[in-house]
Amino acid sequence: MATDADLLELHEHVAAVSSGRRSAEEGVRLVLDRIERLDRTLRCYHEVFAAEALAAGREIDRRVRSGEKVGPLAGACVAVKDNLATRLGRTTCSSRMLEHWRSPYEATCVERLVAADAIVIGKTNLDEFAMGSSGEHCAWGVIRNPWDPRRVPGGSSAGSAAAVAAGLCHVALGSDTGGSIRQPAAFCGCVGLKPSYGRVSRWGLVAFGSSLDQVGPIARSVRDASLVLEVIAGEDRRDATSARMPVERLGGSLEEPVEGLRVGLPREYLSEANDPAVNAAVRRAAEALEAAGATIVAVDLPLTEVGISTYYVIAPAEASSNLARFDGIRYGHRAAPVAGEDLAELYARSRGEGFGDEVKRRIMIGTYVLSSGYYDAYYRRALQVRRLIAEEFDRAFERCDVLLGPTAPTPAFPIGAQQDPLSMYLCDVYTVNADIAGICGISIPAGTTAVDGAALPLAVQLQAPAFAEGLLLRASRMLEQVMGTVGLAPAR
Amino acid sequence: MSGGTDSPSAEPLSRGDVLKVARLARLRLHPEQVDRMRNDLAAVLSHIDRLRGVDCTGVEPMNQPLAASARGGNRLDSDEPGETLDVEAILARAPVREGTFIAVPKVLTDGD
Repeated sequence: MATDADLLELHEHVAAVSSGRRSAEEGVRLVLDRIERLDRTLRCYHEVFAAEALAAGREIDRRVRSGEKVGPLAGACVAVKDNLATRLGRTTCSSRMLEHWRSPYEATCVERLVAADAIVIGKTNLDEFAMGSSGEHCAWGVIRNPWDPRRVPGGSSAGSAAAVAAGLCHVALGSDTGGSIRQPAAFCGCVGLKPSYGRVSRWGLVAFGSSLDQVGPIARSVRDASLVLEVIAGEDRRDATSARMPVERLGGSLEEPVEGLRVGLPREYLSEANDPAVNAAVRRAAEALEAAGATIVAVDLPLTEVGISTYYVIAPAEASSNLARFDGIRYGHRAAPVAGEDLAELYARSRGEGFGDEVKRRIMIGTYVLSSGYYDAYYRRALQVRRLIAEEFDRAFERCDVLLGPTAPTPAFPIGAQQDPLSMYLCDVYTVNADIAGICGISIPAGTTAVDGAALPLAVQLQAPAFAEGLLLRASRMLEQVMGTVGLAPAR
Repeated sequence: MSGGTDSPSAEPLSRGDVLKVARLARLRLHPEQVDRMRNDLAAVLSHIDRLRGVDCTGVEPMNQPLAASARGGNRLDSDEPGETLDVEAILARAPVREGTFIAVPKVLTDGD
């Protein structure tokens, strides 16, 4: 009988399964058993594919026994955020609008995982349509933080991060438009990687902000995140914004420290508004990297704060346009018919019933900033500031290789603590600019802090230029080696 | 909506403004949602106004971050039929279907 201690990190599990030392089917069973015990409280999953996953595990075991070659993720149980289209089960975006939606096709990133012999274990809950930073805006109920179920797991990839932290999968896919991979990873003590814009195909990712959205892994270690990225990255002819850039295969070089690494520490990132434990974690990380041979460079990013204003114009504008497709006609929720009603009224009622409050707010903001008389003052101006933010990063990366800072201004906050939307938006201050500029960023655990009788994970973020994932991951591995991981959340 | 390009949020957002945006967005709001939405929008728009403090003279808007070199230029598929979704799969997912059609309310009224 397998025990919790048998839940290996992904790279260990894959190595053991591929060499026949462990059974993939038993690995699935262990994960299913943990889901059964823990997910009633945490609510990470909307759907779990138990029978299909066990069958996939059995098939991998058979192939290993008969000496057939298996893929680089053989036996890994992957949780997939429910805004990624899968052939199995439903794809709901945690929205009433898509409550019964079954996708007729599969997202490229999921296809590539399955082709690498990963096993899709289930679909994870999110803030509806990936809009939110707490996991509280899910139509199927609030998702909880496994380190302290009174607190939020962060968002919007809430279920994905909580599932990794609680050991309810080996790895998860999330999506990041303004921080939705990195911030929940930070709140749950996981590694969360947002690849550069264009690194991973968006085909099959339900669009929120098309010029910002990226798919990436949430994992227990840098090595696991790196393995998954190598599988899902790369050009896809079905996504014209997927980059024609070679995918770097790190292999053993992940373990090699970056010679002469220059770490930029932006003055603006150590704001006094941050929780003191967060700033202390960033300072500890800087000292640890310095001790490992890196040089710390002071840099300035004065546009850090205006990133929120820029983001909350561009992202809602793109969302209002992308979500126009949900009109209740071809798919999704359609309101019950009312005699004499015209088509526009049917759209408005279907959308009014199908979308939750946060989605409605974003659509309203987006519609407002794009409307006649306001377009230049808001939308065009935000796109100009976007260029200035990207150029500011370019200048900083002339002086350093990676940027170090917090992922979020605080550790996980209590459920219900952020009632006002604007204060929730301000939590994204350290993550939105990487999406705005299209660079890559990663959140890495940095110990824990005791709050209200619970140990809560702390985290730091590293950012690197577009398509410098190799450098980012090697620097992250250096940091992980000196800071250590925080392990799985205590099972309750 | 009130206000011009120079000072978009100089005047407070009215209930009428909110209803107009909701109409443009094809969103039915419950009457009790309108005031809450007005307050939320006003707070967010006032924060967004900070963009006006940034000097953008001569700055070209940036629509998307992928550099042309990484994009590999404009990509056009060859004009050959490829794999498409099955018509039946699409019809089966429509909220209301009539035979091989997706049913909608009457678009043109008798006066049109």
